[in-house]
Amino acid sequence: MSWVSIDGLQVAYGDATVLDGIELEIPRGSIVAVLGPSGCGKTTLLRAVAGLLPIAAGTIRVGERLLSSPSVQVAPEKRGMGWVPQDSSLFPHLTVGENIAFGMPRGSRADRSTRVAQLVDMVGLGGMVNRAPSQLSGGQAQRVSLARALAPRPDLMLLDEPFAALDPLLRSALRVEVAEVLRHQHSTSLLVTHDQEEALSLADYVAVMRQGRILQWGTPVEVYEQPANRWVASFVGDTVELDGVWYGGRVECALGLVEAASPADGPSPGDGTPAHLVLRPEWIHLHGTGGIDATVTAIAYGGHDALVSLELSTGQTVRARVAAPNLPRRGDRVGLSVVHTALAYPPAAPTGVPSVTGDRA
Amino acid sequence: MTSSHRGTRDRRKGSRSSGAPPWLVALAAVCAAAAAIPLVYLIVRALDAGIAGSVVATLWRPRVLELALNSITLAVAVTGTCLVAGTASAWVLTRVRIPAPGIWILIAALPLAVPSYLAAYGWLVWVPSMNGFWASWLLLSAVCVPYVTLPVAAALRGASGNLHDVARTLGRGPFGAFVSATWPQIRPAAIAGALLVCLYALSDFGLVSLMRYPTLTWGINAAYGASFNRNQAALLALVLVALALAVVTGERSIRGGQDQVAVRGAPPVIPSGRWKLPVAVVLMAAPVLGVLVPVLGLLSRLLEAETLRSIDVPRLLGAVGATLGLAVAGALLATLLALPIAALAARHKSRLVSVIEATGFLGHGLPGIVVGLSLVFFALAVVPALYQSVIVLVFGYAVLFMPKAIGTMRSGIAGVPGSLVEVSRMLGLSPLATWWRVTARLALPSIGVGALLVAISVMKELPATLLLRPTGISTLATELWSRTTVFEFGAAAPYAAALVLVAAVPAVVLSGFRGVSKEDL
Repeated sequence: MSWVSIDGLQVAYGDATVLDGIELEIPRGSIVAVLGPSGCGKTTLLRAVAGLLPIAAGTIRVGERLLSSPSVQVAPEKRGMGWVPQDSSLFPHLTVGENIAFGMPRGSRADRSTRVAQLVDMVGLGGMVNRAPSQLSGGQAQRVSLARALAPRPDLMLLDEPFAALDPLLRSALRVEVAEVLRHQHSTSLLVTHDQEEALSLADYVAVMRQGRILQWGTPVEVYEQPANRWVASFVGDTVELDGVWYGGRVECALGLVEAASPADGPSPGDGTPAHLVLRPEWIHLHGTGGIDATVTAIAYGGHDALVSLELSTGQTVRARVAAPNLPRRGDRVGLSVVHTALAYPPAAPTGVPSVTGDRA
Repeated sequence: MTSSHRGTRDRRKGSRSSGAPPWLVALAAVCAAAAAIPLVYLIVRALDAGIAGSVVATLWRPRVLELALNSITLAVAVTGTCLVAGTASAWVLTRVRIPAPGIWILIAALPLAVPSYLAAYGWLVWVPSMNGFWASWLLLSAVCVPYVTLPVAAALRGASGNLHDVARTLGRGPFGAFVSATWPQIRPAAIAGALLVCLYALSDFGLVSLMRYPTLTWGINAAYGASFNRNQAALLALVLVALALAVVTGERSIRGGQDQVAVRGAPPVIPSGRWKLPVAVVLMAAPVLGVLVPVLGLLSRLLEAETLRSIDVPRLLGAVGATLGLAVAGALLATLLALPIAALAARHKSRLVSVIEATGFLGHGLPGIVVGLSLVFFALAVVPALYQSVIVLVFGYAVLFMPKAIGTMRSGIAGVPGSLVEVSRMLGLSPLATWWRVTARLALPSIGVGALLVAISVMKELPATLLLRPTGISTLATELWSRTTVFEFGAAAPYAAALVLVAAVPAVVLSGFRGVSKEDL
């Protein structure tokens, strides 16, 4: 049973349609990540849900309440939503405690300060209630921002790239903490991000967006392992791509005859037709001998693992992710096998495919 | 990413949103309309009085022509002098190693705190025979130089020294390199400063009158005083407004823009022995002529036994009280009128918003005497009950000095991040509650500074006060004025001193604040 439902949503700035035909059903208590590159309209989507933007078509409902339609725009302050912006946006003239209490319903002073203390502890900032925002680090400020948004017990939490401004180490640590807090509060949350890792690790469901449309909706595993098209495949993670020929559930290519599935909603390819094979580098395993012969040409060492570039006997190059510390060396001759069902897409090259390495942090 | 996507993203990132609430637009439009009353009414009146037909004929009357020419000559001479002297002193302030440069910047701004008629008074104390064009030119230039010095110094600090060095290595001499490499970078600032000087010189009334140099402002006052010929005053005012508007439009078209280049500050030049004297002259000429000499003159008169004995204390206190009271009232009204305009212009952008803002800035280009005269006509014709009442006087101040409040408050409000406003809305606060608890709260310092700037300007304002003040109310400026015009320098001294204390000193203190544009003082 979905809690938030967005139906046929369209948003336009003047003549430019920024969002078109957005459908989203968010189950109560779940964390949904909207993942897309810069400028895909994901923040616009968040702002439309927040009521900060009028919409051109469609509806936005939370529970049974109609919040947005072309003729209805419930004011942001009447929507009961929590908002965590990218830059934390703490009120500089208020202390940490006052920031958190800012949106809390009027009640007894004691109730409010109990709740503030509770929230401050929950985000791990006990003892900092009287600090000024200027005395906080970026991570601390973002935690206060989270506590402030949670304070009025919102029906829906909206998080706009909440970790983007933090340095990478802090980012992943805070990510885990925030997910814990949100789940603990049973908050329904909509998170917007361009960071694939963030979306996959944090969310119950991921919506992949591009150019104002949602291309795929699913669990992180579905989105990563069964991307709806080649663009989603390469945006969500590293890919190995080879051309081949489809033979009933397998593709004949430079890696031999590889088990493959075509996208669920696409037409089933005919036997003997060309197909574009996509794999994840970690689906290719290396052996001392056996399987398909290959030579190690380069190793991109990443600490916990490495991306190993391998030249096949056909002259094509594939890459495999190998867990450290058992890494081969350049020039080693190895054998390869594919350990996961690969993906077969129609061969026509879509335009605008992001380069596999260039687009990733 | 398509360009349309990039465009929308930029719009989102900015704190400005396109849709301004209609009530705010309406409110701002009403406030701006108030600022337009003097100009509109002056034109209406001029057309109404049937002047239109005889305008051309009247214009060529030798007297009108002479006054206009005097005004133009003085404005051009003063502007040119200030452009050269101000650029030179800005260059010395930023490019020459001088002891205590921070203090010198403050000293360079000092002449702005001194009303022109006070400078004239201070000089007349020393040289009672001073009069005419050259005296007006010298003093007005000394008082106005900071209008060029300050913006040009700021521009020079932001201008790249690399270009100058490159020009030198390409064979230009020091002056040639300045003209070809540095001048283009500081030109917009210099021209903007020159505009202020030119407007100041055109609208100045006190100094030229005391120096008995007949310009349009003097002519307006004289024609108004001879109350049988108020149409003549209106006509002269129209000519003056036309000149001022021509200056403003001219400046817009020649200012131009300059793309900023990556900046590396230029290392300061160390003056050698034979350059020390010229450097000192450049730095000290304006402060000595515009501040030191007049203030010493004032003190010398004030401390004479006869002056001290004959101070009319109740009358002095009355004038101080009236001055402060009017300043507070003027500041309050100007702030109230400016607030909606500033709030609108800070957050929203559209053609309508620009028109509203520009209308609010009208007082910036209107000479005080014109606003005064026009409001006299307006009060007589539309609200006779208010003629010669404090209300019209305070309204005149508000129109004249609203631009100072709008400018300061707009940047203060624009400095409050739009995301804070959104967060507040998301936390359940209505737009009005958000404005009160977030925007206004954070912009409060700049709103206060804007109000203070207006208050200081009101205290110094002379011609509008002379025309609009109710009988029986005297401010420090009018008391100083009436005594100086009859050469009672001793009796004027206490008022001049009080004016320095209540207006000039706060102005100097305020100029040390961050975010206060010294040119607004």
